Amino acid sequence: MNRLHIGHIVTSVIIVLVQILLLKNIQIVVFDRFTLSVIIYPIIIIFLPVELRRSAVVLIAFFLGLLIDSFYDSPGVHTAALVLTGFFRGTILRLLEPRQGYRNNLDISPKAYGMNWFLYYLGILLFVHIFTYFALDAFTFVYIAKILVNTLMSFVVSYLIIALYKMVI
Amino acid sequence: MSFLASLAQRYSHIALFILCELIAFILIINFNQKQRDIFLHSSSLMSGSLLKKTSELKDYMSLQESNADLLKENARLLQEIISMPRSEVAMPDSNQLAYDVIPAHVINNSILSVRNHFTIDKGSLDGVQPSMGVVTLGGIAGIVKSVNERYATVISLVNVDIRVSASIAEKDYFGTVSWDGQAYSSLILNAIPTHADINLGDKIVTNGYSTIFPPGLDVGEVLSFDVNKNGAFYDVAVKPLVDFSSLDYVYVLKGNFAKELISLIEDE
Repeated sequence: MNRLHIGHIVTSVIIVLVQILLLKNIQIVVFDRFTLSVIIYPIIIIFLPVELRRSAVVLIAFFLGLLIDSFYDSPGVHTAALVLTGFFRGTILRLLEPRQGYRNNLDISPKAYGMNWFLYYLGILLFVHIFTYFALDAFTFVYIAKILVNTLMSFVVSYLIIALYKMVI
Repeated sequence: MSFLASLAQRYSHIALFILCELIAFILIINFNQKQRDIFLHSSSLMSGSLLKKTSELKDYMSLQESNADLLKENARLLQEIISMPRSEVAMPDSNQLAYDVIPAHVINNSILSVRNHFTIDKGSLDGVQPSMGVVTLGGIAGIVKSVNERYATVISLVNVDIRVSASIAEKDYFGTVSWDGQAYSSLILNAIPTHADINLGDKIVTNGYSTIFPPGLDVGEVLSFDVNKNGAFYDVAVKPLVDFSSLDYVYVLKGNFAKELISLIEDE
């Protein structure tokens, strides 16, 4: 287990703590109807090392989802969304593969494969996760408008926070 | 073996993904009250809408049957209306002039000739006889001309040969309704004296002077009226209440009269 892995584990623990202790309490209700939630924990999955096997990513997503759900009191909702995100991660990675390919032992960051690549990659997966989360939370497409508004608001705020955080660090 | 192993390695993440999602969904449905309610409700909604579709289809298949039922019901109601005393001064024995009502379906119809007929799917086996009145729920439609076992030909009200005794509703002036062979939306009532008080839109009803129609059935409404050439009577244009271009279901009136009345009328 090299330093990179230890770094990942430490950051992941911090992110989970921030999510469940701080961000969980920031749920802004807009127009008495829409909810804005800040959701950053998917970046643990999104920024796992590129070379990690897809089945490992799915498994990690599953257990991380269960952990988040145990704090959010919503068994399965975050888990299902995060497992889907983890599964899609492989597909998106393949679709966005740079011409020279991925390099081993290189963290996913704006510096690694360029700013545009980074914002694309993060945007797609974060949107998939947040949309799936709100869809599963509503559990019906009857409220599709509400699901979309919730998703958009939460996505924009979460995306900005994550992008800023990754650019600073 | 190595092929199977590589296959397993290649698709293991998909299997794992499906397994994890399954577990997550089981958790969602079992431990989240809202999602559980929606899940149970929508499965019942789905089966419910399927059941509804099936019953709609069944309804459609039995449309003909229910139509026949409705027709019978209508006939029964019509019979009740006809046999109700018309007014308080009605003769106590007027109920004896009862009519049976036979529902029928128009299977052929013409309006373009001057001698229009239509054909109904009931004949002598159903009790239809010549000279019976034929009505719709809107008003009178014609008189049976000839019958065979299963079908009957009816002289339409828009036929230059027909004569129906009628009067202006609630006034006692009476005359004869006929047709001039022009527009099927206009009949003629003649022999109304010029001192009669007629208003546009007055109802024209049968007066029961023959046994074909009971009194009080709608014929039409006054469209216009004019003093005729002789100067003694009005010619009243009457708008029939039945749309002869779209006859569909009709009712044949079978009078059950005392023999004495029939022989009396025949003697005339």
